Formats: sequence, C-alpha cells, structure tokens
Amino acid sequence: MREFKNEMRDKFLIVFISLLLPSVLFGGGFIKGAVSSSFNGKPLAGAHVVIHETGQGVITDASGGYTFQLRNTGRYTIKVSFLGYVPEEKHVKLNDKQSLILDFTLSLQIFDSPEVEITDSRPEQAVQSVPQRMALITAQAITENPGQNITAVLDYISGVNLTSTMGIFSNNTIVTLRGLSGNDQGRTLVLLDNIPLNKSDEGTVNWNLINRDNVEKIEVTKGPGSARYGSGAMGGVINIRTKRPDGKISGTATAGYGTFNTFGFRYALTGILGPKRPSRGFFYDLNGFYNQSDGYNAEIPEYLEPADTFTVNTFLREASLGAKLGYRFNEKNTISVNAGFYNDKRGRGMEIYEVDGAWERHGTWQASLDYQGSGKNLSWNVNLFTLNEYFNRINEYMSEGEYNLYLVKSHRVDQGVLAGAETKAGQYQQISGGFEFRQGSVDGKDIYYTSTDLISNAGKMENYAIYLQDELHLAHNQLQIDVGLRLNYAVFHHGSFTIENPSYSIEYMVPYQDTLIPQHIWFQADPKFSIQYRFTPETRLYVTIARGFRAPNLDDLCRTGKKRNGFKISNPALKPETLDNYETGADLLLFKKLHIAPSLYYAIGHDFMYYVSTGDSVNMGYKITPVFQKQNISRVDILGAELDLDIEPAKWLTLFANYAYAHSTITRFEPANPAIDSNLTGKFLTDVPMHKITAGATWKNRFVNLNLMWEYIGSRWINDQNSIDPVLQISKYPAYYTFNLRAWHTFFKHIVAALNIDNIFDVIYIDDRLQHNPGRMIKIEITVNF
Amino acid sequence: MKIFNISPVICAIALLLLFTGCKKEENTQPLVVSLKTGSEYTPGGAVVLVGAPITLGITATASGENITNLVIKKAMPGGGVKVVLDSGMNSPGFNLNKTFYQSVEDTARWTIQVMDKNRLFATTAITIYRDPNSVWGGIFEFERLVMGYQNNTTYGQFLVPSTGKVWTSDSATLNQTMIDIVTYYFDDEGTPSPTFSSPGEEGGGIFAYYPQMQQWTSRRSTKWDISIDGNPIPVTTFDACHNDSTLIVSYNDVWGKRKFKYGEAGKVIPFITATGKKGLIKVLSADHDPAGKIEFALKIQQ
Repeated sequence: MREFKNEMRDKFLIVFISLLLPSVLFGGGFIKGAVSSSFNGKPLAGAHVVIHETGQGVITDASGGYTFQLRNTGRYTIKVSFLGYVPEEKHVKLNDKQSLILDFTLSLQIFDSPEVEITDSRPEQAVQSVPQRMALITAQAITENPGQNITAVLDYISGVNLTSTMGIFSNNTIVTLRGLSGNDQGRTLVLLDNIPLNKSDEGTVNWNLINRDNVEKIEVTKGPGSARYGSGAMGGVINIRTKRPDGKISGTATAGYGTFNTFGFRYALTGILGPKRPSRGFFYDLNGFYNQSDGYNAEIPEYLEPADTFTVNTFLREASLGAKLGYRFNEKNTISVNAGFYNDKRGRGMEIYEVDGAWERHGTWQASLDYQGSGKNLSWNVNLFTLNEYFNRINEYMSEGEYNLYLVKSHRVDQGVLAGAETKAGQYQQISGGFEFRQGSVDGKDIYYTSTDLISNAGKMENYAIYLQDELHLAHNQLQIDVGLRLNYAVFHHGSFTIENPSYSIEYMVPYQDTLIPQHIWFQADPKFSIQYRFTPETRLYVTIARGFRAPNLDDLCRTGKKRNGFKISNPALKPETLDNYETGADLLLFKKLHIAPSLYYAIGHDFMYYVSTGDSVNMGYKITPVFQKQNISRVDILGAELDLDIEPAKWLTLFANYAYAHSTITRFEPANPAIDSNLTGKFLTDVPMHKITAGATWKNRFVNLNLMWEYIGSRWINDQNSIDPVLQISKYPAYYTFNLRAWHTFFKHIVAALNIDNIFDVIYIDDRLQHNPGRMIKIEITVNF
Repeated sequence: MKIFNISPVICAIALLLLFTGCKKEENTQPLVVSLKTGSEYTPGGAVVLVGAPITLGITATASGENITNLVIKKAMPGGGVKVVLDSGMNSPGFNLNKTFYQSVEDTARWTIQVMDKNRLFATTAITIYRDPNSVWGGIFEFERLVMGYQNNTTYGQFLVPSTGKVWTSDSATLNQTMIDIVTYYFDDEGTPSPTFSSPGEEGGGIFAYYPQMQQWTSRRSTKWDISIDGNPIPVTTFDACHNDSTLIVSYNDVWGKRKFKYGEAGKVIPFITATGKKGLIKVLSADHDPAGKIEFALKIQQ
C-alpha cells in the first residue's frame, strides 16, 4: 500500500513539473481582454474566443472577459464569435512574459436570408436580423414535436396552412403560406439545403422523402422571396437544412411502433474521417429510414354506394437511403457530394384484382455537388443538383359496373446549377449576387390496360436567372436597408401530346394531338425592398415590399386530358402568376421574457391561373362538354395578420401561441364565356382557413418531459365557386381542433423513450375526395443518441 | 511445393452454374384468343337475318400477364369500323359467350382482340353476311307510359316493356323475371336527374332506393346507349318508326351502360333488354323530385 502511494506521489510530481517546466524554461505570456457589443456597448457573455494556431478556446465570462496563458511567444490569431454578431479576428505578436490586452467590439450580424446561419440557442434573436418575418424550427423542436412527420412540425408556425388529411398515409401533402390556396404547392417554395424540391411538372413536393432525424433546422421565410429564389416563392420559402458534421461522430437512431401496426426506424450519422483536425479532412453523413403500416380505411361509409365493396386500407411502405461525402480543404473551402434514394408504395384505398389494388409509388433519386469557399472579403457557393422522380400510379376502380385499370407513369427531372457570391462593400454594405440555371422536364404516359389507349405528354422548361442584393447597415447596424432584384428568362419547348391506339371512349381527344407544341418564352422581374430598425437586439420594426412569382407548370403547358366535370387542353402561352406583398411587422420583448411578434400584410396577386372555357366543345361520347384551358385571368387580394407569442417563464417551462388571419379573395375574374364559366369575382380562395390558432407548452422535469400542442383550424371553402359541394352538401369544411402530446424520458443520457399521441381526442375531419383523417394515432419510440 | 487446392474454384463454378441454371421458368405459352365451334355459336361465313342473334363463343388464355381487355369490332365493306364491345378485365383467361344482333350491313368482318397487361395483343376474326331475305320486324308501340320515382306512391317504378305493364314494388317482386326497366330520381352525386335503369344495375342508386331488390333472385340487365347525349336521335325519327329498322341501327353496343341519367323531355334513348330486344324511349316529361314521375313513349322489338 505504501509503495502504491509513493508511486502516485511520484507520478503527480512528474505531471506537475512537466506542466510548469515549459513556462519556466521558455517563458510565454498572457492574452486577455473583453468582448462587447457595438450595438449597446454591453459585454457579451458566452462568446467563443479561439487561438487559431494552438486550437485553445475559451468562453467569455459574465463581464465578457477572457484570458489565455501561453507558453510560447510568437504571432497569434485570435478569433471571436458570438451568435447574431459578425465574427472578428485579430493578429498579435506576443513577446516573452508580456501580458497583452485585446478587446473586441462585435457588430451585429448581417443576415442574408438564403444563407442565414442560426444556432439553436437563441433563434428568436437571430431571425430578427432578417428584415422580414421568419420562423425557425430547431432540431430540438422537431424531435420534441408529437407529429408523425415533418409537415406536422411546420403546422404550428403561424401563416402555415397544411393540407394533409391522411397524415403519414398522404402522398400529396401540401404546405402553403400566407393565405394562398391550400390545394397548390406550387406557390410556396420548398428547399432542401437550398435545392428546390418543387417539381416543374406540377409544383408538388414529396414531403415523405425527408428524414426528420437528419434535419438540423427549418427556416420558414414568410412572404415573397422570388427576388432571391425565383419561381414558387410567392407565399414564402421553406428551407430545410440537413445536419452537418461538427468534428466528431454523432448520430441518432430511432425505432417505433404504433397504431395501425405502424412500425419503422430511422437513423442519421455524421462524422469526419482521417486525422481529427476539424478544419481539414473528409466528413460524411449517412442517413435513412424505413416505415410500413397496415393503414386504415379512409372512405366515409355514408358516402359509399352499396356496391362499393372494394375499399381497403391505405397501406404504406417506404424506404430511404442518403449519404454525403465531403472534403474540407481548410476552414473556408469545402466540397461535398450528396446522394439520396427514396422509394415508397402507398395504397389508395381501392382493391379489386391487383394484389395491392390502386397505389402510388415515388422512386426518387437525387444527387448534388456543393462547393463553398471564401476569401478575405468574398464568399461564394456553387451547387449542381439533379432530382429525378419516377412516378407510378395504378388506378384500379369500378365505374358503373365496368372495371378500369391503368398506369400513370411519369419521369420528372429537375436539375440545374446555382452559383452565388457575396462580398462586403465598405464597412456598412454587403452585396450578394448570383446566377441560376434550372431545367425541368416531364415525360408522362397514361398506359391503359383495360383499353388500348396509350396517352403521352412531354415538355421541357429552362429557366435562367441572375439576382443582385444590396444590404446597407447604418446607425451602428440598427438601421438595415435591403434592396434586391432578380431577372428570370424562361423557355418552354419540346412539348407534345400524343395518343396511340385510341379506343372508342377517347376518340374525341385525337384531334388535339400535337407532336410539337409551340415554344414559348417569358420574362419576369422581381424586386424587393426592406427596411428595418432595431431598437434593441430583441426589439425591431420592419417594412418590406416584395414581389413573388410562380412559373406555369409543365402539366398546364403540355398536358391535355380529362378533368373533373370536363375536358382540358394545354396552354403553352401561359405566363407566370405574380404576387406583390406589402408588409410591416415588429418584435417586442416584454418583462424580459415575453416575446411578441405581430405582422400585417396585404398582397395583390395578378394573372392567377384558373380554368375557363375556350368556346369550343368536344363530344365525349356520352356528352358534349366545353373545352377548358388554364389562363391568366384573375386578380387575388389577400389581407393577413399574424401574432406570435412565446415565453419561457422558467427553465423547465416553455409556452407559445400564435394566431393567423387570412382574408383571401378573388377580386377580379374574367370569364371567357359567362354562360359556362362561373364568375369567381368576390369568391374566397379554397382550402384557406380564415382563422388559425396554435398553442403549446413544453414542461421538462426529471421524471417525464411533456410537450402538449393544440391547434384550431377554421372553416375553409371547398370549391372555387364557394358553392355547396354536391356530395358533402356543405360549402365549407367545418372548423376543427386537435390536441397532440409527446411524453418522453431520457435514460443513461443517450436513450430516449417516448410516447407520441397524435390527435388525442380522435377528432375526425374530411376532404373533398371524401376521405377522412386517421384519427388518433399512438406511437412508442425508442431513440439512441450517440 | 504446396499443391494448389482447386476445390473452392470447383465449388464456385458449381454454384454459379446452379444459380444461372435455376432461371425462373418462364411461361412460354403465347397469348391466345379463339372462337369456339358448335351449333350454339355463329360460325364464320354464316348468313344471318337482320335482327337475328350472332353468338360468339370466345376463349382466351394469357401468357405472362393477365388479360385485361377484350375488344370486338366489325369492319364494314365501306371501310367503316364499329366497336361493339370494349371491356376491361383482369384474368389469366376466360371462356364466355357474347350475343349481338345482325344489323343492316351486307357483310362484316368481326375481329375479336384481347390485350394483356404487357400490352401484347392476339386477335381472331370471322366474316358474317346479312341474309338478303331479311325483312324488318314488328314492334310494340306505347304512346304514353308513366312511371314514378322512388318516393312516388301513385305510379309504379318497374316496367315490363314488351307489355307496357308498370308494377309497384310488391307486385314487381312477384314478377321479377319480367322486369326490364326501373326508374328513380338519382341524387347521389353530381346534378340530380331522372334516371332509367334496370334490376341488373346491382349498385349505383338502385339498391339505395329499392333495397328489397337485393333479395331478388332474378335481376335482368337492360343496357342504355348513353352516346345519344353527344349524338341525339331526332324526335321525328322516333315518331316515324313503325318497324324495327330504326331500333336496330340506333343502339350502339359499345356505349351500352347500366343506367341512363338526365332523362329529360325530348330525348330519344335507345336500349337493349337482357333478351336482346332493342327499343327506343322518347321522354315526354320528367319531374325533378324524388316523389315525382316521368312520362315517355316506348317502342320495342316484338
């Protein structure tokens, strides 16, 4: 025992001496100072201070102070960073036994919305750096949300309108913003790491392919963003950013089981390869998921005919694999390659002879190459991407006692190059600009099996754009002025509509065949002007005026075919819809804890596309029907307001609530033929709740953490005419509310057991396809974080 | 010297051969359609009186994928082609008899075509001639019949067209083997409308309005030519018809559906009963009320 103690004493002395010896032998010195804000002169506690050459780092104390003791003399680079402020660095020379005083005064960060970098700790302050209304959903908020998928998380943002009656079983979920119709995804742009997910064919987004475990954050920018992002950014932009490696291997894996025999797993893993030097080397990201469910029967019994005995559960099976491999040349230059594959099969609730009945499948693969670099005053980014969707839908149904089976098969490609750069122009100005090229194409076929018809449509569109944005910061960064302009030039070409082996029932379509639909070119300019004054870092007032637009879909440009109650032909001469938005908003912090964010906006939409009759008619065999065509014929006015409240009265309790109002009407409509076309002037947009309220509370404790969320969705008009639906016998979907709950506990720091209850009170609501929601869904999940 | 062990190589080759040799046996049988022979079927080269039945016995066998479509069409000497049947299915094969009725053309090339899910086709064909000794047949004419809709307590909803007898529900159940036409006011979807149907509809609105029919053991199907909404038959043509010539040429087989919606006044509607009797209905008036009635004139082959 004595020998052991002596041994320990000796070891302690050796360590102690070895630590002191260098400073005694080689000298050295101290670098110390304080970090403060240029905004109000107050010290910044919690700022990161790093010595580049040694890798040493400290965090400033309550008075903003920091101290380094260095054993070696020489030249050092001291870097300071703090959330919401521009990072700074200083170069110093440390002489022997010198004590250098080095203070930093950080300026407020200039945030350019496309490249907003926001950490999770204080997002509400950072989003105020953008002179428009923006919401941020952190990875933590996504994890703690009881919703079944990523769109359920978005639903609690004010101004977001989610149309997804069937929840995880839905294959056409639509998320819109700011009072725009809830049946068209094309007016809200969705990005995944800046790459657009809206397809050129129909503007739709396959939300199911997003792995929620791999999402670092979601930035929801409300109001038009076309001055930067181009087509689709009318209601706003939803940018989903995936996780990035932070220098160590980390990840999460989750398995769950729940209602309708629903089970699945998902995982996400990030890390670096090779030498453990964060500023250089390879990094990677692996992620994937698998889900399956027996589903439920979404049909509403009271609307079924006695002979409709073919309805079945809307099952789902889906799998995804994703990988990213990148190389960091240094702290300023990074290149990465990203690839992903997704495949699903979702039942459509009808089964007659086919094994899985009617179903849809989205085989999607995507790839991108991203290069980010920066110099002294210039940073740049180049991104090449391709998104390929192989869409298949089997339609199997009985109609008037006759069996029908056909396959809709489409290959949709969206690809392009996005290149941008930004630079400081003097002390108060930042200029960013870029070039974009996007190409969208569709090659679609309706392959009939119960008749001989084979109908094809195809088309391509190229979009070229340049944009420029100028951000001016005055009055110690309290006053910010943003000006932006984007110019778009687009060409639609190679459109075609052909029919092979037409059967008797579609002979009326044959004259509309066109192997070369005329090329069409359009031009679009989108300006933006924003001004913001920040009274304090948490208090501001802003005004923004911006234009958004949405390019016509390929489906409208080149597809001819049946539509509900008629027949529609393509219109290659369609031009973009535009939306001019005037908005003001403020952020207030009361009692140091209550954050209040009111917004008020008025938007005028021009050239909105609606179906109107062409004056022609076709004999569909059983009836003569007018020919319809989409045309830019209406003006839409939207008056909206939002109020967001959130408070953290204690560290263990967080509360939020928000209210959104949207009065969306068609104020001008030019029917081509009043005898046929309904005049929609004065009618409300469909699927838009005038009132929506959400609220939630998160209570964290040592036993079971709870997250309770509530939402109220006001009534929505069912159809464009605001008339009574002939089947539902109502003109508006009734208002409804839901409660969702997540309860979880963490074991051994790494294992989380959770219970999610979606729609606690089993509230049932319906859509115009006569389907209802799944009702209450309970799911148990086990997550391992490592 | 170490001797090279070749056994793993042999095993690998054996496994390779095993797996490549165990190819899934493919169905090499081609898609086939053929016509049955026998006295009950109309053979190729047959000479048939106008209005007389043409019975085709058809068998088909799938190859790799199920058969999904059957088309029967006849090509006339002038180059015209008329589709008389275009039907969907999903079956590895079928054996069925279809009966049509000789029309006025001198000769017709009847082609029977099947298609499978791989969109492979198989066809067979026969030629049938019109008997030059054909004469027009007689018809039954009813100048005014009145039928009620589902909530009408005054007029019956069930018709025997060859006699013009309209039955109420209870009587119809007793005479179900004779009922060919049923009326109701269809308001289940779309625009509500006066509707002609038959017991064989077996769905749509008929069981909703007349649930007792689900218990009927005999449900005869009448097919209604819905193409007249696109190609209307003039009322004057109906009025001038006093033999079955107009009835025979008016009915378009391929557009024959199980009910006729929007039976408004002035429309002339062709139909064919389960026994192959072709007829025309001229709607005189039609109420728009589930308790209302519909008035019409009717002509049908004897």
